[in-house]
Amino acid sequence: MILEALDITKEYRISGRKVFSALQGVSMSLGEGEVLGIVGESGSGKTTLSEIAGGLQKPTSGKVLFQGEDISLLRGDKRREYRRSVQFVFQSPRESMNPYFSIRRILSEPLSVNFPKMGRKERDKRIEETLEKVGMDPSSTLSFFPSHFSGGQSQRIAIARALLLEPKVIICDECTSALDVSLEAQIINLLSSLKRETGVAMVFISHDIALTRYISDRIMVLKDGKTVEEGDTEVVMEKPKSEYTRMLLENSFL
Amino acid sequence: MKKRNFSLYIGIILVSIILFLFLLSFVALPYEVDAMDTGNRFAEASRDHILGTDQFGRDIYSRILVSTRSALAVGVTSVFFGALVGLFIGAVAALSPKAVEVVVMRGVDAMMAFPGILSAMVLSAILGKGVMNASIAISFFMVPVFARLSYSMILENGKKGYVKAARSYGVSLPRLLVFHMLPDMLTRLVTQFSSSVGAAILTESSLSFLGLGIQPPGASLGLMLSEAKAYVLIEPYQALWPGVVLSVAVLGFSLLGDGINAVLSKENSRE
Repeated sequence: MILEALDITKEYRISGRKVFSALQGVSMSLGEGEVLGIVGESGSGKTTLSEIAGGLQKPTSGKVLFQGEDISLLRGDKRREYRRSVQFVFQSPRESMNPYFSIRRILSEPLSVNFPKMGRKERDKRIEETLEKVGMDPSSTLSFFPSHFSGGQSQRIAIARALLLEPKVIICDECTSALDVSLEAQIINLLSSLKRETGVAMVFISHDIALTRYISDRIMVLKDGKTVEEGDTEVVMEKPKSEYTRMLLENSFL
Repeated sequence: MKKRNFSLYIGIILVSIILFLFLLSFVALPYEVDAMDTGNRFAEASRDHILGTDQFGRDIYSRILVSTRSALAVGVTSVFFGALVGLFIGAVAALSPKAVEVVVMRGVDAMMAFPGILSAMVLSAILGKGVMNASIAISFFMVPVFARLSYSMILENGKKGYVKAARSYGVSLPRLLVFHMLPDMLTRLVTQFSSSVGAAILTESSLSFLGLGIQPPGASLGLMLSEAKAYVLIEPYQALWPGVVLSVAVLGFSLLGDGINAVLSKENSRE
């Protein structure tokens, strides 16, 4: 297992004594090169879970293991390695890029922060190769600002940024839900081919169970901060055990 | 529909007038601030004294020119240092654990609860009279304003997608603050800074008016007003001119702040 979350709970304090539990003892595990789909409605805790697994939020209780080690105990080089190895692609590509930075700067920053010794030439070379991998032309991309690009192009750039650091895990949090249907398919195809070529593991989060099916090896269904169902994609799709999963399937376009 | 940004234009004009007077005070000062001419008290406006003279026969125009020095110096430096300290405190609160955050921000709220002029007066009374102490007192009451500003902006910007993204690829905290958060905060900082300078100039004048700021025979708009108030019935112009210049300064900086805000927020929304 490359990334595991064990018995995670997350509580938010809302006004005084009231507590809202976003997650109530959820566990997940992700093997090398595997794609785990997390499905649930908004408010089910899927984003919270992914951000805890990615180290952007701290759980109220429970722990996250990266290659078997508790991430809250990682220090120094190991901490940086974890940071670099788990990358995100967020829902809104526009918002995930600093509007004051050119694309060149947006793509240089992850490299210069993580590999301060890397030379300029090498960095530029890697940026160009990665952009080509996601189907963007470097010469007509690098000197522009994020507002110049459409949603689909921006999401490709955001995926390139995640890929630059050669991560072991990419967490895609609703990364297609801001795009229209034809672009959605393109991005899903791009992600599947990247997975085949680079062997990167993915956590694919979506409210759309039909879409998740295309890309996932395993599916986990969340509802109100609890795991409702978990299993291999085909098993879950063909013989859903819970009423809730069945309902999700019936309501999706299959 | 195109809406003209009158705040900006008028603000720029008024602030330019003040800056012009400030420059004139260095290059073309007709009389020394404390040059008395007791045979020529309460003189009418004339070619020698274009705004007349005061109760000691001092040239009112020259005194107004010199007053803009203390107004701008105290206004700008006190806001600058107040902002520096305030921004730091707000940032510490925003980035600290909950317990520290609550203590610091409640402290800031308590500071804010005091009317600015009152805390400035108390501080001036404790520290003693004089320009330096007046500046310290004014920067002190600027602190909570900027602390709240940086606190709320850091919390707000921390939720932005690109800040989250930057954290996910390991950008360090100082870098995150400077490159990813500061640019967005600049609009409100500049706006706040400009209107605070207006407020600081007003406070400096108030303190001087009460005898806690600039000391005679120095010149400050507040001090001039204070001296003129005894003669306001026989010689109203002596109070009029410093009052006008003070209004121009305060109004100018507030409008400038509003105008800059309008321009920058329009630019942001265009994206």
